[in-house]
Amino acid sequence: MRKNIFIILSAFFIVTSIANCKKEPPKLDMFPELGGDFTLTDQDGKNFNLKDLRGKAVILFFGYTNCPDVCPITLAKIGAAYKKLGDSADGVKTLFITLDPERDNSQKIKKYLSYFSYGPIGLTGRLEDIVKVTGLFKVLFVKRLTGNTNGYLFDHSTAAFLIDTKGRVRHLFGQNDRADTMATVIKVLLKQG
Amino acid sequence: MKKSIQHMGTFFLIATFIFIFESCNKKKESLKIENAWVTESIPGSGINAAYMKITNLSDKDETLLSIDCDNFETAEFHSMTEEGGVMKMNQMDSVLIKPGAAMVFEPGGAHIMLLKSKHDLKAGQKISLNLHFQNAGIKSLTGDVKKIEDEAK
Repeated sequence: MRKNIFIILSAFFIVTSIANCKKEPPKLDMFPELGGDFTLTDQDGKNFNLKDLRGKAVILFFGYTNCPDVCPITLAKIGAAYKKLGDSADGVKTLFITLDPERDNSQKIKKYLSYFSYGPIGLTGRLEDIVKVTGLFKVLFVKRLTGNTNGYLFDHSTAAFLIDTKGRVRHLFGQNDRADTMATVIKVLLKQG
Repeated sequence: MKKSIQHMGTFFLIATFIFIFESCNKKKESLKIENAWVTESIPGSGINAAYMKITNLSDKDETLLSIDCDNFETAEFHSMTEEGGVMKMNQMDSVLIKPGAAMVFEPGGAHIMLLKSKHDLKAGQKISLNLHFQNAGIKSLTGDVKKIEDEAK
């Protein structure tokens, strides 16, 4: 009898320990100081406004097509998160805004983004318009001459912004966030609408 | 009994000789290079990245001076540092690897930037790279071309 109680208690202890180990689901926040609507040019040369995506969850990311590492990895990671989302990925759109409009025109962005199977929208525009958008999201970017055949590169904020169906920033993904974490957060957002 | 001890002695002697001979014959590798791979070309980008892990097995400092690859005009080493959410990429002229230490080039971290590709690279292809080291000289290796989407976790 005593032995049985011991076994039951041990089992209970193990189960609760496992349950406690399970991470808390990531919470969504409000960032009233970040975000807002803007108009830029998409990869087909058409005007695009963030308002066009109301009703969808949006992942917004700033980069440039000559970026060797961080930008393609972030775009790839978002793609991996889409795969984890399965059917609910239909409710998510990704925006890639170039920080290098000098080299990244609509055509170049279109070609570049065609590589990523989940159909991200690429945006470019006049530098002053892009600077306005980076201001809305408090994104920093600095152009730096490299002296190599590539000419220049950018130091830039690497956060990817998760925007809800009403156009509000609700979460910031960092460089170290894995695709499964991204998918979990996006799922929470999609549930809330 | 005496004879068998004699036999055993001979056996050990031969074994020792074989061991010494093998040790001398086998030149000790001073470097271990693992998991070398290059990103598949993204259309319109013209820039690829190479990743690998290089371990210095010797007891002396080793320096990776340069990398060349037939398919690219130049290659550069870049380190990444994050300051207040801003990723800064800095070019390194060379890479010092201390004895017993490893230099890891990996996605999102330090990487080898390959510039001005002559031909687009497709996943599944193999690509040869020549690494120039200060002590070990030239080390040639073959890296796999992989889709970045498959490597993103």
